[in-house]
Amino acid sequence: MHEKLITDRARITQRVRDFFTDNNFLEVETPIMVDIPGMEPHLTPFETTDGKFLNHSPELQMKKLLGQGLKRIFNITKVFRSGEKSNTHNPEFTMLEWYRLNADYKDMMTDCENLITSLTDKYSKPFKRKTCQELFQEHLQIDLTSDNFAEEAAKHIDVSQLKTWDEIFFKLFLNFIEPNLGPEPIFVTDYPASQAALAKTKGFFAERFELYINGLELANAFSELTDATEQRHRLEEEQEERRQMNKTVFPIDEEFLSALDSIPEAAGIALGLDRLIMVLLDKKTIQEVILFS
Amino acid sequence: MSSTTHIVKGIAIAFKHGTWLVTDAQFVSPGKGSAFTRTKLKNLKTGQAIDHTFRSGESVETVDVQRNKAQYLYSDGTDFHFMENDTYKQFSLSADAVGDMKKYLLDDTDCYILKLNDNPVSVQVPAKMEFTITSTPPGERGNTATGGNKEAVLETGLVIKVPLFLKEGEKIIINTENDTYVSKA
Repeated sequence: MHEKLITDRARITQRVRDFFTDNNFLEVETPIMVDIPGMEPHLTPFETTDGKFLNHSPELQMKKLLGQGLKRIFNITKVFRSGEKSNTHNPEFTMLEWYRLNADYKDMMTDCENLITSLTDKYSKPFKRKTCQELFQEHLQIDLTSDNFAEEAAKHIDVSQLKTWDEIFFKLFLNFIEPNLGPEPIFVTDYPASQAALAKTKGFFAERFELYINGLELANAFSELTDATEQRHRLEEEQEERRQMNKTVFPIDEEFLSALDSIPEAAGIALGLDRLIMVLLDKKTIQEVILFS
Repeated sequence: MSSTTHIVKGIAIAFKHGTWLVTDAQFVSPGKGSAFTRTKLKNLKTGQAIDHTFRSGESVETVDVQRNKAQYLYSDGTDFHFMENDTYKQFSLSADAVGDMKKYLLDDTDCYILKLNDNPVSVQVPAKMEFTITSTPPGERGNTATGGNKEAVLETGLVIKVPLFLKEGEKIIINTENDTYVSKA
C-alpha cells in the first residue's frame, strides 16, 4: 500500500466533504446492513446469515430522509455488489450520493460540474451534454423510438441471443457509443424510461443522466419519481422480473413509498468515489486506488 | 469440430468470418441492465485487434488452438523467426501476426506459439517477464503529482511506470497482461 495513495485519497475525500458542506448539504449516515435492499433486477446483494442484506446503494434510505423534510443531504458510504469484479468494478466500493429537494436532474449536472472543477483544473465548465437519442442517431443512425429498432440493430450486431429491447440497447451502446464518448466529461442524458425505475419519465424517455469521463461511467442521476402509486407499480414490475430470473424477490419497502408522499420534487445522484479518484489520479484500474484491494 | 461456450480470456472463437483470440475479458455493468463482457480480440490470421462487447452468457463458437512452447530467435527486419522447443522446427511469423507482442521479444525469449490446424498463427508471452531498465530519469523524489511513479524504458523499447527508487541497469519483473511493474528481479 502506497503512502502517497493513502494521503491522496484522504485529501480528495476531504475536499468532496468541503464542497458539499460549503454548499449547505448535510452529511448523513445510512445503514450498510438492511432488511430490504434495492429491487434492481440486475444487482445481486450479499445476504448475511441472519437474513439481512448489505446495501448496494443508500438510495432508498436517502429518500426516506428527504421525506422527513431534509433539503440537501450527502453521504459517503460503502456499498456492496456481489459478482462485480473487473478493472473498474470491485464488489465493495465507496459511493458518494447526494440529493436535493425541489430540484431536477439538470441541477445535478450543475452540481457535478461544480464538484469536479473544484477538485481539478483538468476540465472546464460547462461539460458536454448529449441525449441517448442524439448519440444513437450520430453513431448508428438509429432512432430509439422506431418500431424497427431490432432490425436496425441487427445491421450492426448479432442480436440473435438478446432477449429484450434493453439488451439490444446496451449491446449497441457498449460497442458503438461508450468507446467513442472521448476523454472529456460528458453527460449522457434522457435514457429510455425502461431503464430508470426510480426516475421521473417524460414519454419514451426518463430524466436520467450518466456522467462519463475518459469513457468511464462515474455517476448516475435522476429527477426522482415522487409519485408513490407509480413507484409501487414499477417496483411490482421489478419483482416480477426478479421472479422470472429466478432471483430472490424482495418485499416492497413500504417506509420508502410512504416517504415519497412527503417529497414534492427532488433529484439525486450516485457517484462512484473510487472511479472519481481513478480519474483524478490518472489510474487505469480501480484496484490501484482502493487501499485494501 | 466446434463447441460453444461463454466468453472468457484465453480461448479462441469464431466471430465475424474469422478466428480470434480473446486477449482480455472484463465484466461491465451498465447499471440498469444485464451484465456484459467487454473483450479484446486478436485476429489469428491478420493480427488485427478489435474490441467487442458481448452480453455475459452469450454463447460463442470456440476454435481449437494448439499452444506450444517456443523460443524467439531473431527478426530479419520483416519477419520474426522462432523455434518450437519440442521439435526444434523453425518457422516465421509476419510483423502483423506478431503484432503487439514484439514489445516483449528479445533474442532467445521463451514464449508460446499458437497453431491453427498445425499452422503457426500467433505468439504469446508469459504473464511475468524480466527486463532491464535501459533509461529512466534519476531522482528519488520526482514529480509527486504522478503518484510516486516515473517512466522507464526497457530493452525492447517498451515504456512502463515504475517506482521512483529504480535506476538504469536494474532488472525488474513486469506483468505483460497490463504492462505494469511487479517487483525488482
